[in-house]
Amino acid sequence: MYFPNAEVLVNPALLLLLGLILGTLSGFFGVGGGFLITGGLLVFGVPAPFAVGTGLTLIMGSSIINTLKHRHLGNVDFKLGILMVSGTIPALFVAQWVIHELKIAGLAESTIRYAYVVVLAILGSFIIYDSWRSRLPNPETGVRETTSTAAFSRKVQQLRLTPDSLRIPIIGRVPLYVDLPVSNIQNICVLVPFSVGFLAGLFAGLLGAGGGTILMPILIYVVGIPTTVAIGTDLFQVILTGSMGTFLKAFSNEVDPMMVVLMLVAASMGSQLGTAATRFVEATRIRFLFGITVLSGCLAVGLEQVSNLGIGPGYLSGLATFLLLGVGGAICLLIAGLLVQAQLRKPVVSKN
Amino acid sequence: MHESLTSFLRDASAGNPIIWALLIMVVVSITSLVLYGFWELVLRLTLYRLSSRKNPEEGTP
Repeated sequence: MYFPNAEVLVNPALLLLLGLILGTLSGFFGVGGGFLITGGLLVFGVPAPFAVGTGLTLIMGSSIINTLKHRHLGNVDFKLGILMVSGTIPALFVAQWVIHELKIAGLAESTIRYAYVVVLAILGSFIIYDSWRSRLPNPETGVRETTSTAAFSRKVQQLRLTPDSLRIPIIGRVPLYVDLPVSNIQNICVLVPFSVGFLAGLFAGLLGAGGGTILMPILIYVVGIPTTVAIGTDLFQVILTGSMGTFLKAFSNEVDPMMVVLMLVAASMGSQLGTAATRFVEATRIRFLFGITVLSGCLAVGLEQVSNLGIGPGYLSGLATFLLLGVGGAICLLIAGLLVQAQLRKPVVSKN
Repeated sequence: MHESLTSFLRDASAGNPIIWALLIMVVVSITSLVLYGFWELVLRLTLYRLSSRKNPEEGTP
């Protein structure tokens, strides 16, 4: 099938498969999946600028579908999402400035890739360690905590960083502590979600992709939000970052709308599977599988970097993408299996 | 035919890049909403069919 804007011939079955994998993983983990989609499109022969632009546009569309689906399940905390967005927008501009400065110093490409590998390695290892730890009871209290950082999260929620309210001329008193009933959090300082949004925006802007990958663990392990709510709220945030990216890429004519719509059809089908699975699969299992995906992403970026340096054999770059697609596909099959297994056992798991 | 389609898209995007970018965003957003609605309808119909098979008396006067 010929895609006139990208001027490339691609097998539509492969695009549908890629869309299906992206939709499933996005609905299940609450991340955009930028690293997967861009790599996949590059392997299919799509020119690099179009692979990035088309990927971002697909992420925007797929996040809209997944957010609506998670909202239906009561997993989206819009209040928290809007507070985070107020931190994400300035962070994206700060990230642009940092990239500009790094480019002047001639460090942008390599610094960003090294930072990406380190951050993903730490995150992935921690998530896997935590999902193993949270299966065991706390040695001090004897109680099984939802995450190993539950005590730390409670401290973060109780932080008193500002006065109770702020007086703004014309508007009047504005409260600086809010209740987030969907996330089971009471009286949290607005600076906490603002800082979380800022941090996620900074990573999204600096690393190109990965805003959702960073935000999801921060929401769970630092702020102490239930896993399913973190997934839904994260997707709401991804709509914003994806939309900004889409606008910029479409403005430079680096998006193939035909390719996006085709993959979106398959992604919408995958998102049904991914979101439905979050209702039945245990939160610790979701986090464990997310950890595996993050580590495979780390390995793929590492292989890509070695290939760019010209140290290893030439096939390393291709191997990196096939590793990502292979792990993504295998996890999709596992999600389908877990969903079937849970359906046979039936009771819906609680939000934790 | 391929060349003419490509040049048409190139001209459209180069002439009005802001409108082109907004058009793409609107098309993708509307497609997403339609697909969400479609799958919701399919799932509801499937559930309705399954529940009416389980309880055949329900729904009959």
